[in-house]
Amino acid sequence: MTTLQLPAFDPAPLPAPAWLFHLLLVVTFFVHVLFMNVTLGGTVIAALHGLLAKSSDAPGRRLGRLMVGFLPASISFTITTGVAPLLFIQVLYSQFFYPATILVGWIWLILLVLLIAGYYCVYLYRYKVSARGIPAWLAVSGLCFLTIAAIQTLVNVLQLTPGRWIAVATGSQPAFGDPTMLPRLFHFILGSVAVAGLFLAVLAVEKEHRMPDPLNPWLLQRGVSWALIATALQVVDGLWLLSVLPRDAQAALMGGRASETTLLVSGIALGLLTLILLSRIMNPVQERRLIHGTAASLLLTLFSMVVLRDAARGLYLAPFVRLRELPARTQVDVLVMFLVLFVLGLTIVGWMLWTVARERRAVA
Amino acid sequence: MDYPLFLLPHIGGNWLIGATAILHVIIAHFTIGGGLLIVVTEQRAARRDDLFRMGFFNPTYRPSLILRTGIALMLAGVYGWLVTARMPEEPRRPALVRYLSGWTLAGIVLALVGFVWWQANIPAEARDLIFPAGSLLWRTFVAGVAALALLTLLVAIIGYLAPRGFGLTAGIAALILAAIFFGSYERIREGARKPYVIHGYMYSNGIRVDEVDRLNREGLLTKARWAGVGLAATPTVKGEQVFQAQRQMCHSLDGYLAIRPLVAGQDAEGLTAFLDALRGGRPGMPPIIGTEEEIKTLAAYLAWLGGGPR
Repeated sequence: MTTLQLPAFDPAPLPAPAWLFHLLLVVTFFVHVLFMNVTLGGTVIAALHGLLAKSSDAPGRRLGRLMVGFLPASISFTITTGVAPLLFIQVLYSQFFYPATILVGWIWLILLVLLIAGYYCVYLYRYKVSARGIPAWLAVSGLCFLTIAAIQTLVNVLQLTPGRWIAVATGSQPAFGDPTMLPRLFHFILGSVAVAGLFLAVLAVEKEHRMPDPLNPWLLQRGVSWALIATALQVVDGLWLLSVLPRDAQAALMGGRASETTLLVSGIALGLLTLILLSRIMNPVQERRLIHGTAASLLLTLFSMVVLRDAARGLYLAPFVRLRELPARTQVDVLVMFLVLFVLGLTIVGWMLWTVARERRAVA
Repeated sequence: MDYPLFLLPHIGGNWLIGATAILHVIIAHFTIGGGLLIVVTEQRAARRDDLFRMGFFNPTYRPSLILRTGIALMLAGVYGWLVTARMPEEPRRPALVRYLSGWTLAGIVLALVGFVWWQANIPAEARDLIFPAGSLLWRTFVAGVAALALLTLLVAIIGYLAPRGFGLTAGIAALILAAIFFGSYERIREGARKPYVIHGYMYSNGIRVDEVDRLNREGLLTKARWAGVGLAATPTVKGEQVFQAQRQMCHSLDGYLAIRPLVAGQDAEGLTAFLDALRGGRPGMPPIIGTEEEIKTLAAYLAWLGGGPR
């Protein structure tokens, strides 16, 4: 009965093989999550330290000013890199994603309002209100971004559970009434705090290496602590999420299917490795290489979690769709043009960032 | 750190920005040209066997490219005005205003050329929706032309004849006029596709031409899988579902292309006959689709909507 409400697949076949879209979906989503983590986690961390700071020259407030220097760029990159996976998911999973967004249409649209508000508050903090910035604006940004995370989680859970759609549409079940909703949301928030914490730590250790400043050791210590606490909580939250997954997905992940089980085990192992490395950072200013290694380990963990998340989606939707069975008719010329432009675009962005970074180093 | 692109002009990136922007427009027009614009002129696109060539060489690709490039220059010029108006006065300001006016006027000329070229390449049915006085898109067309004329006057007068009139008001007025022209063109371009989304392939309500016979036989609501979920199965409710499944994409109840005034005071039998006559469609409107029974429920719903015979 649940398949009855599934919209028909697009009458036109996919213009390229499904595996290519799938690969691009996972890769672009990973890149998006990286920027998103720095944006979300960085805003939350900076807002909290800013609110706790007692004077406008306290390190907490200086962190806020450092962060709003980054945020306009990282928000832009979060949005731009978010469009790509959004398009790929609509190519592959439009039958699920589209109804999910329609079911919570107003909430889904409010996402844009929150995004604009959150973005604008960063500029308010930076330019308008006072030269020193009022941390409350950053806190408002943080709240906007956290709410966006909740909306994204809501739509993503909804698209995985077509069996609930009728109940949600008729109002007999709240849209967010899925047991995985909260642990999923926490998974994203904690991950963001961990990545942003370590990002700030790497930033601080690099700055300290070049030009010592009392802010750097302070930031290094806080960044590592945030990453450590968030990653430790992540282990608990991960187990919670695993325990409330649907029975079939759980069984597949825990021995039922070799590839999914391998993904879960390697994801957990990498997470634990990151946790161990984080806990070994005692004197961060002197342990530049250990911090770099920890960051690499966290990145690997994040990537494996993105792949695991994709595998979990496959398990959820296995009764309804198999990607390799979607009708496809490759349009070679269009595909070649796309790939050429894709590489060209990445090259231009890369050149741009490299040039700006070089310029800034020359100025400093 | 600002958005890195902002810094590029200072370190020699202007040509790259320009080239990237132009490439962007060319490709964006290919993707919408290949997928949407093209279909006003070319049914072949729907078969997707020659999409690449047709995406670039369909009759409306180049006109649209010229037209939108003109609009982009126009918007850049008037936005430049707005920015200039908010900067402190200085001796070089009149020269800057004139420079920006030049770009705006160039944009207006390009947009005009593009529009004339574009309309010459769309099918006659589409032109009939735009130009005859009183047609569906006539008022939008007039609004767009009027806005463009006023913008030309404004920019020419303030840019070249009376630079003292320049200020925030002029900047805002220019931006609004440019936006009205831009919006009118986009509205016309969209509207001229009616009754199709993809010419000869899919109607503007999402129903494919090759589905019509089956839906008339088996029922329109077999396609609308969510129809009636959680609702009572009375004729009026079912009729409302039929309405939503094929008419509500274009018709609101009381606002845009309002339905209620059209059916006010009519009874179900009369409406059934009327709807049956619309099975052949009319200019700019897809045919009425559905089984006899569905048409009857639609008529019942519309009669209820219009308050019944008085």
